[in-house]
Amino acid sequence: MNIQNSQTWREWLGQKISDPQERKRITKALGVVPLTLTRWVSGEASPRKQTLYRLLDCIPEQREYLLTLYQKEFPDMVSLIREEEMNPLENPVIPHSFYRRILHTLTTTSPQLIFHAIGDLILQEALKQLDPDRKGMSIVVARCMPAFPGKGVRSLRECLARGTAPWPESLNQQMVFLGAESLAGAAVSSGHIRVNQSLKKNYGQWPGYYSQWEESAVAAPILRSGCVAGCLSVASALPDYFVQQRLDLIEQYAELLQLIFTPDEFIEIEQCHLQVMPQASYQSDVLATFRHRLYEFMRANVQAKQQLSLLEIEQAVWQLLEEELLARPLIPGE
Amino acid sequence: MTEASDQNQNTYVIDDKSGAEMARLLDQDRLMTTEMGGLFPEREDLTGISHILDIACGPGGWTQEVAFAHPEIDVVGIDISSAMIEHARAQAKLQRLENVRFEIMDAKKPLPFPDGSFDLINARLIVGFMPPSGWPALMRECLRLLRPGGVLRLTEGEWAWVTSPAFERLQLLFTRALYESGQSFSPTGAHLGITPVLNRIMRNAGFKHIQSKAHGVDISSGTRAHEGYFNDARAFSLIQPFLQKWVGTTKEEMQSLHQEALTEMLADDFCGLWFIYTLWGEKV
Repeated sequence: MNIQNSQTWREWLGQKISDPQERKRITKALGVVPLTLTRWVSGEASPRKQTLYRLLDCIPEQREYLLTLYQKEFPDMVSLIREEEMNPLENPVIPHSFYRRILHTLTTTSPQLIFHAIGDLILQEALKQLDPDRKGMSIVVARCMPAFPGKGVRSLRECLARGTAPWPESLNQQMVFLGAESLAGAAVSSGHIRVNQSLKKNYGQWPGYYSQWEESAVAAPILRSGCVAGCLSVASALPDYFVQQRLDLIEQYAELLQLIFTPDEFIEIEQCHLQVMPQASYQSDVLATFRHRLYEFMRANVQAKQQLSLLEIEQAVWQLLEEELLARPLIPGE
Repeated sequence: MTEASDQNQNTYVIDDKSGAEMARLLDQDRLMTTEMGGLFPEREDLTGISHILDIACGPGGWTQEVAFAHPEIDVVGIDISSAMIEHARAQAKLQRLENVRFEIMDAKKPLPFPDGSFDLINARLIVGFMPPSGWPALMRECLRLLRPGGVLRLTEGEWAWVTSPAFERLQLLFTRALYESGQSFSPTGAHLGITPVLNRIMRNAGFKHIQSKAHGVDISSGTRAHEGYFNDARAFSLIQPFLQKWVGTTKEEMQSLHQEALTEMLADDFCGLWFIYTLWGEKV
């Protein structure tokens, strides 16, 4: 029987899982045991809504066909899916309770922990709201490096990141310095959100990093009183992912993120004179020295009985690395 | 994970309303799951598991991951901290997870679920709030809540063996404070002492077919787990009030020792091994 002639989604699934490889793939993707699939096919049991959603994601090439089959048994759900396609976010605002939690946390968290702890909580919330079905997203905060005397801010440094597959959950090993060549750089230099809806189609409209999985990307500056401290960058594994609702939400998260920066980190946008930074692969050998250098600085600090905090020492090391990277000759194409 | 209190039952050692603690717990949760080899490293087949209880779920990291990965399994996370539960609920809502719920409950008291409600009960790192005297009652309660053939799964750890003198001193202060507060299994306060007694605790409660799996996580410089463990250690300042209360460690002493410990952990020759131990047993 041709699978496209199935009368019901259960019949369709039965056909599909008659292929052992497909059965294995679908079982794994849905997180169920094979017997469960068999019970759905026979009509003994029905999956939950979120499993039906995920089944659609398993077979993108037959998504529309499967939706027509769902229609017969789950008309309300199909209407909801159609509505979500038009307006993907049920509620395109950050929940009030989250603002309250962050503000409360600020009142009790020591300054040493604010940037990482609260920043990470915000990124995790943003990731879950922007990519609830885990279709593939990376979300990164880059902060402006301290202004260099007479030259202003020359680069941004990625310092907080989270991702959903295909990106790794923790992106710490992949964080680099960014400059004028990046989408984040364009957002910071202009003070406005910058979007690349389809990096394959529109590459060149705005600068983009165009990483291995990145299909669309957004960068929103983190502003206070018209001054900038960094940037929130979000990349999706899907093209055209950033519809207006999601862009609005990203701007809200960028606004919230201003809370994790200290007042002195906000600088006039005119002070941003971002340089072109070397490609990520050309930075890795320098970045790999960070931990060792941090150790040397901290040891000297302990021996000298100085009271510099870990954050202050880290910043000094990053400045050293920035200087070295800026001194590197650019390779052709950068 | 964590259990703290809104009223007078607070036996957890860190302020549960601290967002920094919430972020630390979420990180620690991910680190443990990764280093243990997944959500259920001891079993590939979840046939017959349709209802799971996660005791002291904290902000719900493991609970939500299970719910997302297995949408046909119902998962309940409980924790005494309303702040943690509020966070967990909000995160589950954002992800549109229909098969998970979170409830505020004190695991040191009877849990208001009917007998035989669950196929699997999970509890990770509850030694931070559960005193030795509380374990037997919790085991009895787990036995009641499991259906026949259901499984209780406990995961606890000991402090890492490390080459950093300052970090070792910090760990000793912590285990000493736990000892002084009556929350230690160690006869001298030299370590947590929970892992050697877990099997006996489960056996005495009547669990059968007890099996175990030990995880030795290498946290030495240059390893995958080093950064995660280092970040966890960064947040060590959160335990200062607990240390002050039980062993008199001042803020200044803590700050100096903490800085020294972090420095030593960054050395190229820093070595450490973190011991995590999972036991699971059946209700027959």
